[in-house]
Amino acid sequence: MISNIPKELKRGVITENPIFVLALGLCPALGVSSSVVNGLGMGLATTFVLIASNLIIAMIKKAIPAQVRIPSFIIVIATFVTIVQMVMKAYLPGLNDQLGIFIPLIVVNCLILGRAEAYASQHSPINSVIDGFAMGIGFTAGLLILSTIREVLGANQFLGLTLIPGVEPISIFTLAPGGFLTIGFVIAGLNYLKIKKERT
Amino acid sequence: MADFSLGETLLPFLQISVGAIFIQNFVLTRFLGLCPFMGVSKKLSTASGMGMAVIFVMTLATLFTWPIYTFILVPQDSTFLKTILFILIIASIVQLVEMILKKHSPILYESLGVFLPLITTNCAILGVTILNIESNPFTDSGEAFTFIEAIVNGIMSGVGFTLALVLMAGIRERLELADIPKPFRGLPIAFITAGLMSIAFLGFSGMSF
Amino acid sequence: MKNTVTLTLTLTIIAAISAVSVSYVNQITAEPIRQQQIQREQSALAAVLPAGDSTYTDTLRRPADTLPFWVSYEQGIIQGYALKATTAKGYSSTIDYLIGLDAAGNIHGLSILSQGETPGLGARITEIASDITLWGRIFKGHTVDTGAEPWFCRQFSGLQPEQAISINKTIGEWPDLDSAGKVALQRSNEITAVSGATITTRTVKKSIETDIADALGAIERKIDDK
Repeated sequence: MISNIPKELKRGVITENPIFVLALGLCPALGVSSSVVNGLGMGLATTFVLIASNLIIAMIKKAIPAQVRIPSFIIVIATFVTIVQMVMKAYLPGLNDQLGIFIPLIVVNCLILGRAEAYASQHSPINSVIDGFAMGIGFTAGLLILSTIREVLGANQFLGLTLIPGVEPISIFTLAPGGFLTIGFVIAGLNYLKIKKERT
Repeated sequence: MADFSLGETLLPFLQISVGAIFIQNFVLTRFLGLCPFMGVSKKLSTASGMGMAVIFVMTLATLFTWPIYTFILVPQDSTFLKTILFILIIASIVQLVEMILKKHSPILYESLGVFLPLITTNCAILGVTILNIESNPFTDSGEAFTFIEAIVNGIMSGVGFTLALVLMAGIRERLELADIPKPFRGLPIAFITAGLMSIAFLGFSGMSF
Repeated sequence: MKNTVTLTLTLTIIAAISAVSVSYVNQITAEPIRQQQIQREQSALAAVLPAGDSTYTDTLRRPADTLPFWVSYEQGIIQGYALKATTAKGYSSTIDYLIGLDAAGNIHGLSILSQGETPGLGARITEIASDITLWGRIFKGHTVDTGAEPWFCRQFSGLQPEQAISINKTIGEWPDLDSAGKVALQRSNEITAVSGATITTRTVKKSIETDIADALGAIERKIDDK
């Protein structure tokens, strides 16, 4: 039975959003969200690894004994991350410089290992691909929200182009504290909406 | 009499220590190790236990990954295998630590619970092993870390992580008693606290001596 | 016993397949990666090295670092030099750059090869000065000339690295000055900083001062030995 794609997308982006609801993948979420281009790049790279590893793990799940489950998953994930890293270095070197250490760190993005363990190891390859896609898009959407806020407020730019000429931005948003503050307020905002919805 | 200055030999280690703990704090400046930072910082006792475990794993991880990288991967021109190799070494070390803790300190093992195996996916551990094979950002030479420097960096990065974790736990224990608006309870107020701590640590940025 | 063997075997097979696939991709991408770096260097070189009919390249090995350099000749007479520095430690990354000097030792051009500084702050050292806003791009179709030289690098032209370069913090950023202001800055061996990115600015400036200091003399000695 193939999953319903729109339903899965809604789950991945809204109800079970990896960053804001499940609190997974926080390190890259804060580390690369200082500009929209970086956030988008990281989101797409992570989505690719998520889909690829979910697919392979769903395909070989029957051949893996339970005790070596986690190390096997890690090897598969690390393989795809290394491939992404090499392809990026070859064809997108500017983005590779900007994302820096966070590309190899996709390996320990708890989102990918989490989905492998919670979903891919128990569902069919096709559904696992759909789940990977939905979760990856949700992660990318979360990154886009964070990086838009941080780039607009912190650098008065969007996609590197100035928004309001002559206005000094609130630089702290592009620095480390800004990441923490932004995600804190975004989750608080989402909580507020949830509480309001529950009251009606 | 050999030309030996204690101060000069110790200077790189001082630079690395101050750098790793304050100037480039793993959690508050580099954003590494956030999942356990948010998850384990509710109680001071679990926070300090986790911190100790992280320092230990970081040091052991550096102990194994640095030589393997320098003496096997580099001469064989296979540095692209480092991500896979490092994460496997880390997973094995954490497995080992788990078994030792279970046997010798069951109380700590119980209180850390599910967070112990999660040290494997703690980006801080993989992060420190990768940073240790790149150029030393704290000393003036710009050369790669030597083995001893890498070990010191591993230990001190763990100390910095523990410092942030313990500070956070202390604050969060008190936050439990405060009257926080409903939307902010839980993760949001923790993040905002981390943000304020991060602003404080910003004061160290650019420091060098 | 059999269980352990199965476990180990499974892991080994998976690891082996992984290693093979990664090596394969490595083989495919190694050449484009190399080409990328060469191309980046070549276009930077063309921008900063004074023109000539032949170029000699070598590497200067010093105790603290290795400095690749190029010397440009026109009919056997030295037109200028270019040096590649890779040890400048910025705020959050190492800043690699290529600096070109004319025969008198003044800066002919500067090109930042790679940096990972904070976007919106330190990363602006590779920003191309423009009045293009997002709205202009969307509604009026303005485009940014991506081949232009970043203003941060342009302001180094004509300065003398062997004397101290100072940072003028009172007159704003370089693109906002009029031509008289720019000439005055050059005469007093000064640059302007990227607003809010003093550390990144200082790193590049200091690195230029210290790297060039003994390098020219050592380069001249090295080519005299040939």
